[in-house]
Amino acid sequence: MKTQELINLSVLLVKLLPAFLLLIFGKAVRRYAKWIALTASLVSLGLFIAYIPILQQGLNTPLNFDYLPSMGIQLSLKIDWLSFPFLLTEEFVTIFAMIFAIGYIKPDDRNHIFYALLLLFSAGMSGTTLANDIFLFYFFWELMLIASALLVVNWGESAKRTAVALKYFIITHLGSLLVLVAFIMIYSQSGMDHFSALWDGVQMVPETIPLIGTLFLLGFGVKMAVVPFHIWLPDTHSEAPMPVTIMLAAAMLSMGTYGILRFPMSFQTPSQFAMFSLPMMIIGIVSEYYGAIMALVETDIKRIIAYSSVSQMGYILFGLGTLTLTGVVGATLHVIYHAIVKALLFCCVGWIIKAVGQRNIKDIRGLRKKLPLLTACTILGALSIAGVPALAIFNSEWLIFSSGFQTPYIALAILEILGSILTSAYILRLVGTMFFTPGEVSKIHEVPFSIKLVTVSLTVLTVLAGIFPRPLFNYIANELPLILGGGW
Amino acid sequence: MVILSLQYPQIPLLLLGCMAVFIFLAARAFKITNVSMALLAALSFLLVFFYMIFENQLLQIINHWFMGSRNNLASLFSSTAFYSYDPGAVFISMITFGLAALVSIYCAEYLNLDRRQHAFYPLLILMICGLAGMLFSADLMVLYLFCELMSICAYALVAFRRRTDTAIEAGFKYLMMGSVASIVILLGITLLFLTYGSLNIADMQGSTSWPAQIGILMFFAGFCLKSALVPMHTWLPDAHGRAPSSISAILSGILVQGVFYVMLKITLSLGFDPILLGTILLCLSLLNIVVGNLMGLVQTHTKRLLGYSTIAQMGYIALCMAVGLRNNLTLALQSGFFIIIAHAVAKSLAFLTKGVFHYYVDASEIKHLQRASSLPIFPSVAFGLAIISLSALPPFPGFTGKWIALTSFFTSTDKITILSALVFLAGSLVAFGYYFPLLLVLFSKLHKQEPNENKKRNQRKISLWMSMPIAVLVILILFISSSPQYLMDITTEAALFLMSMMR
Repeated sequence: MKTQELINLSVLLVKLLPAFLLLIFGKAVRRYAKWIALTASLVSLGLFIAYIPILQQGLNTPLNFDYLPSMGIQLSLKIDWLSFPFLLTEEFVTIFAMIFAIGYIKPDDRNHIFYALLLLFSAGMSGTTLANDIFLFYFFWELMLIASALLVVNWGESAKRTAVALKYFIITHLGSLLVLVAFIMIYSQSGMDHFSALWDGVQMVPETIPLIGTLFLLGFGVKMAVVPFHIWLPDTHSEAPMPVTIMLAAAMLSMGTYGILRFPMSFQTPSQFAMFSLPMMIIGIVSEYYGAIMALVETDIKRIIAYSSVSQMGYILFGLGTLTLTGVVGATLHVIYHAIVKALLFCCVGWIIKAVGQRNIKDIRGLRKKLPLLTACTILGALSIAGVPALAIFNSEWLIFSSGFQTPYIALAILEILGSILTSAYILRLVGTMFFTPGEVSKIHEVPFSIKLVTVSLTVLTVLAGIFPRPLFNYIANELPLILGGGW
Repeated sequence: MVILSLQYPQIPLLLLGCMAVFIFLAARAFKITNVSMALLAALSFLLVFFYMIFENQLLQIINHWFMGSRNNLASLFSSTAFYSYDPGAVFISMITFGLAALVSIYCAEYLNLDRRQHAFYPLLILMICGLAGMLFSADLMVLYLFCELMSICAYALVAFRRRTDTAIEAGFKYLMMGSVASIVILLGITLLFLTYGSLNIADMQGSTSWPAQIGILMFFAGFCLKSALVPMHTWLPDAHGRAPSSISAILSGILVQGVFYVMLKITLSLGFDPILLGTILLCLSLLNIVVGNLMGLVQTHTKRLLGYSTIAQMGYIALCMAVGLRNNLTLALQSGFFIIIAHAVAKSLAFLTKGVFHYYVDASEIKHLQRASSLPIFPSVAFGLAIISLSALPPFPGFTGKWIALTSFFTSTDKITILSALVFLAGSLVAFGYYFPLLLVLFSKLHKQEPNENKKRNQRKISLWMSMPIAVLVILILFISSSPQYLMDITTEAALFLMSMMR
C-alpha cells in the first residue's frame, strides 16, 4: 500500500474509528467527546491538505479491496479533482460545525453519542466523495442519511422531531432508491462498478440511457431539495440542532450536485444529456423563485434561511442545466460559496436564537445596538447571499448568469437574473426587521465564545473568498472540462 | 469451495429422534433442570450440525478403522430410496440446525419462568427433525409424514404458553389452517399415486394426465399455505406473534423458508412447468410484498410486526426464485438463497432480542420498547442491527442480497421482471415506515420514563445464556457483511442444483 493510498483511507478512518470508539466506550470520556471529535476532523482535514500535492502530480491511484469478486464488486477509494471541491467543503464545514457545537450543545450524559453521530455524518459525506465504486458510494450515501436522521430524532428542537425525522428519512430514502435503481441498471449492463471505468465511457443499451439519466436526476434532486422534492428540507433544517443544520445545509445539499456531476454528466455524452438541459433549467428557476417567495413570507428565522437553501439550489441546478463549461464551473463554485455563506447565516441565526431566545421574526427587534458584532457579520452574510460584488457568492452567480446567455434560451436567463431580486428582498427583510426596526428585545443572554469565533471566521472567509476567487477557481476548473465526454 | 453434500441423511434424523426421546425420558425419570435439558438439546443440534460438516472425514475414519463396515453402513441405509440429498436441502438444514442450537442455548434462561420444559425440548427437536426429514425425503409418503411431524410440533409449540388465551387462539388457528393444508397435500399425493402407482419421486415423470396435474397443483397449494404465501398467510402473524420468542425465531427464521424450498424442489421434480410455476409464484410473491409491508405499517405489537415483515421477506425470496424460474437466471436463484440466510440470521436475532425485552422488562407492544432503556445497551444495539439488516441498508447482508437480486432482475429485458423489481424496491421503501419507528422508540428518550426506571439501568445483568446466542448472531451478521463472498460460493451450488431441476 503506497503512501497516497494510505492517506486516501485514513481521511476516512480518522473519522470512522473515533466515532465507533465513542459509541462503544464513550460514556467514560463523554466530557472530552467534543475535543476528540474536533481533533479527528482537524486531522482529517490535515491529511486531505497533505494529499493536494499528490493530486497535483497526478499520483492519485485508487485503493482497492475485493468485496464480492464473483459479482465483480470491488471497493475502491480515490480522490480526484471532481471530488476535490466537495471534499474540501465538507471537511471545512464539519470543523466549523464542531466548533459551533462546543458552545451550542449543552453537556449531558449523551454527549459522546452526539459527537460520534456528527463524526459519522461527516464520514458519510467524505466517504461519498471519496468512493470510487458504486457499492461504497451507496453505503456512505446511506450512512450520511442514517446518522443525520438519528441526530434529528434525538436532538431535535421541538416535540415533532420524530415525525420530522421520519419524513426526512422516507423522502430522502426514496431518492436513494431511485439512484440505486440507476446504479444497478448501469452495473447490470456494463458489469463495471468503478467510476474510472464509467468515466472512460461505457457501452449501454441506447434505450435505457434517458431512463438512467432521469433516475439519477430525480434521485439526486431529492438530495438537492429542488422544488418538487424540497418538502423535507424546511422541516428538517428548522428542526435539527444548529450544528447539524449547518452541516445539512452547507455540506449535505451539495452531495446532490456532486452526484449529478459524477454520474449522469460523467458517462453520458452532451448529445445524450441535452434532453435534460431545458427541464433542469426550468426546475432550477422554479426552485429559485419558490424558495425565495417562501422565505419572504416565513416568520421563523431558521426556516427563512432553510428556504433560502431551496432557492440557492435552484441557481446550482440552472448552472448545471445550461450544459456550458461556464455554467458547470459556476455551479461547482457556487456549492463552495453557498456552503460558506449558508454556514455563516445559520451561525448568525444560531447566535440570535441563543442570545434572544426567540425564533419568530416578529419578536426580534433592534438588535443593532445591543449586538454590533453580530450585526456586522449578518449584514456581510446577507449582502453576500444577495450577490453583492466583492463578496463570495457574486463570482459564482456571475458565471451562472452568463452561462444562461450562452444557451438558446435567453428568456430563461433573464428570468434567472430577475429571480435574484427576490433573494435580496427576503434577506433584506430579515436583516431590516431584526436589526434596524425600532424596538427592544427583553433580555440578551451571553453567547459562548465558540459561536462568536465560528461566525467571525466565516465572515472573514466570505470576504476573502469574494476578493480572491482565483486559487479556488483554478483548483475547481481543473477537471471539470472533462465531464460530459469533454466535448465543450 | 464448500461442498454441500450429505451421504446418509438418515443419520441426523435418527440422532435427532433419539435425542428427543432421550431428553423426554431423562426429564421424566431424573427431574433434570431446564438448563441441562437446554444444553442437551443444543448438544444434539450441534452434533448433527458438525456431522454434516465433517461427514466425509468421519466416513473415511470409519473406513480406515473398520474395513468393510462402510459397506454394512451403506447396506443399512442406502438400500431404500426414501431419502436423498441435494445442495439446497443441505444448505437450509445446516442453517436450521445452527439456528436451533442457538435457540436451545437461549432457552436455558428464557424458559425458566415456564413449566413443562420436558415437553418443550423434545417438541423443538422433533420439529427440526420434521423439517430436515422433509428436506431430505425422496418419497412422497415420507415427505408427508415428516411434514405432519413438523406441523404438529409447531402447533403445540405455538400454543406452548397455554395459560394465555391468545397463544391458544393462535395455536388453534394455525392448527386448523395447517390441517386443511395437510389434507390437501395428502389428497394431491393420493392423486399422484393413482397415476404413477408409486410414491417415489424419481418414478414420477412425464404424465400429463389430469389427475397427475391436479395432484401437483394440490400439493403446491397445500405447501403455499404452509409457507405463508398471501392470501394463505393469515395464520402467520398470529402464530409467530404469540409463540414464545425462541420458537418464533425458528418459525420465522427458517421453517417457512425451508417448507417453501421443499415445495419448489418437489413440484419441479414432479414435472411442473418451471415457467408456469414461476409465473404463479411471481404473482403470489408480489401480493406477499404488498400485503406484508402494508399490514406491517399498522401493527402495534412488535412480534406481530415482525411476523408481517416475515411475510414481506418471504415475498422477496419467492420473487427471486420466481424470476429465476421464469427467466432461467441462476443469479436470481442465488440471491433467493442469499436472502434466505440474511433473513434467517437477522429475523432470529430480532426475535431473540425481542424475547430479552419481553423477559426482563415485559415489553410486548412497540411503545413498551422504550423500557429497554433500563437494560444494558447490548440487546438494543443487537435489535437495531437486526432491524437495519432486515430493512436492507448497506453494508448488511439484507442489502447485499437485495443488490444481487436487483442486479439479476435488471439483466433480463422482460417487462414483468423489471416491474416486479420496482415493486421490490417500493416494498422496501414502505418497510422503512415500520422499521424506522421501531428504532426510534428503542433509541429515543422522547417518552417520559417511569420515575424509578433510570436507577435500574445497568443494574440488571442479562443472563449469559441469552446474550451468548445473540452475540453469535451479531458476529455472524458482521461477518457476512464484511465478506459476503463465502456465502455467495455456497449459494452457487444450491442455485445450480435448482437450475438443473428445470427440465
